[in-house]
Amino acid sequence: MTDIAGPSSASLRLNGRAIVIAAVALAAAVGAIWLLSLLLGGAPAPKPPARTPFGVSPQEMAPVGGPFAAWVLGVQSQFYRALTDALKAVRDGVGGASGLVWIGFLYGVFHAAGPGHGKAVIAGYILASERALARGVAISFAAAALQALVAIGLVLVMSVALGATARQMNETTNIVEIASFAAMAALGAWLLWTKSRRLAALGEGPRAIAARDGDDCGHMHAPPAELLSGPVSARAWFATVIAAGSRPCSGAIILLVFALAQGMLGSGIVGVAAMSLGTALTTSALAALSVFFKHAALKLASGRGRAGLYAVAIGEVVVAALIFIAGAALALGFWTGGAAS
Amino acid sequence: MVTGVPARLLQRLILAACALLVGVSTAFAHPHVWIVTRSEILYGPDGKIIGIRHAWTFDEEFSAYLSQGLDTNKDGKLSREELSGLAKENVESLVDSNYFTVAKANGKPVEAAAPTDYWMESDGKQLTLYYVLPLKTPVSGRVFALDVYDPSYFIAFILAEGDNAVTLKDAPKGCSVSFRRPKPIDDGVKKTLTESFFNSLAPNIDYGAQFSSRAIAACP
Repeated sequence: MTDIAGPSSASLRLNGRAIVIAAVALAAAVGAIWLLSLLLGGAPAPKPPARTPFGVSPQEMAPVGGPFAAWVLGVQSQFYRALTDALKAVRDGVGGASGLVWIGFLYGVFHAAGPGHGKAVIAGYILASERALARGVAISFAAAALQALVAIGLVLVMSVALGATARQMNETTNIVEIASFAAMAALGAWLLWTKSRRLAALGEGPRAIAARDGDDCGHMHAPPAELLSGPVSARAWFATVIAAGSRPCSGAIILLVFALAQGMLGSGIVGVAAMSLGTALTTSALAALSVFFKHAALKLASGRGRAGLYAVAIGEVVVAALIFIAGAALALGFWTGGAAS
Repeated sequence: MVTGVPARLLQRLILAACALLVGVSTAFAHPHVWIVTRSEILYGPDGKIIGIRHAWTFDEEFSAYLSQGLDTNKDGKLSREELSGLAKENVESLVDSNYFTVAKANGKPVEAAAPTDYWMESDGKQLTLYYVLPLKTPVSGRVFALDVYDPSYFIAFILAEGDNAVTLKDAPKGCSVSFRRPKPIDDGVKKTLTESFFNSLAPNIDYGAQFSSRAIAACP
């Protein structure tokens, strides 16, 4: 009797503790965001308009601030103009595809330099549960490629096949956008649960870790640090790529539609592909930075016994909670301004 | 339980996560839409300002984006009729952005009523949106300042070149218009960093305002 009741009650206790941990982490994350907004914000950001003219996504209409933002905006703006000019040069026969590719690539590099929800997802995922540089870079490239493919697919289906108007195009883009935020929230929720269970298990010792069910990282004999920070699963990997990369970039869509109107969709696709490569490069740098940070954290934690393990585990839970809250807030429209990419 | 170095480590982890999210909250959206604006300030018979007629011309790329799928008779041209739905949609949604128009009469902001007399035209490459923005109550226009800009700077409004960018219609004798234009955007970027650095330390400042032009109509 006790043999059967034992593990199941232990598992119940573990789940209960994990729920408490997750709830505390959520509260802490909300508190941290609130505190930070008090420290940095002063007045709350003006809300972007509910309906935006000219088919602009409300996400894009979020206010910006600061001199650094001004500089990045200025540079991005010039690259965007250069990119559309390069396309026109190809159209008018005064420029070749190589110019288009180079400018597209550079635009991608700089365009990705500003923060966006995609980068937060990738960095957050790496901080919460990734350690391998190669996987971090692979996620960045996959997300950038997905972003380009979604833009190209949208234009092919909506404009070419269905002859959609700008409004129909915007509505579809908004649905894709909300889906990508929902994916971010789902990834955050799943990470939060997994990481909370791991933290709970840490408190119960190895037997409780063994009692965990349905988890993919099942080496119970592995050292605890490995258990805390090992790659979670292919599912989480895909969720990260989808959350980070499925929202198409408005610049890419406008460029493609313009190219289509000029009868040079091929050139547009080349430009967008080059852009995506540039984006991947910048995001990879951020991923590498996150991996480096994670390694530094693990190194600091190792050899400090349980306190170190707790610190890393708590940090991971908090990052997971932040991903969930940001994703949910963006998906529900409570928080705009995360999606400029 | 968590003391010493691990506590600092935890602190750092949390700080990094917060920094990420703050990054998320202050998104950068560079302009994707460029609009060249021309306006006409409309005066009533009593010499008061009754409204503004805007003519906004979109850049070629965004014009292509806006007009996709609208050439319903497939003649390769966009007629006013084909663009009428788009024009209606645009002016109706503009209310939520306050028409990107900031008008002040003698220093006091004036309120706009619903647009009238709106349509869109295509010259084959670029679209232009025309509409009249009536004032809720006509104002005496000794000094009337008109700015057109998007505070979020997603749409870059550019005042048309020349002295005819803003004109006065049926204005009383002796009224004139003058302009205050920003530095050209290309060499303006560096300048923005230095000059308005201290002005823009507060987050979420009206960033777009820095690039806006102002027209001032003065009457004796």
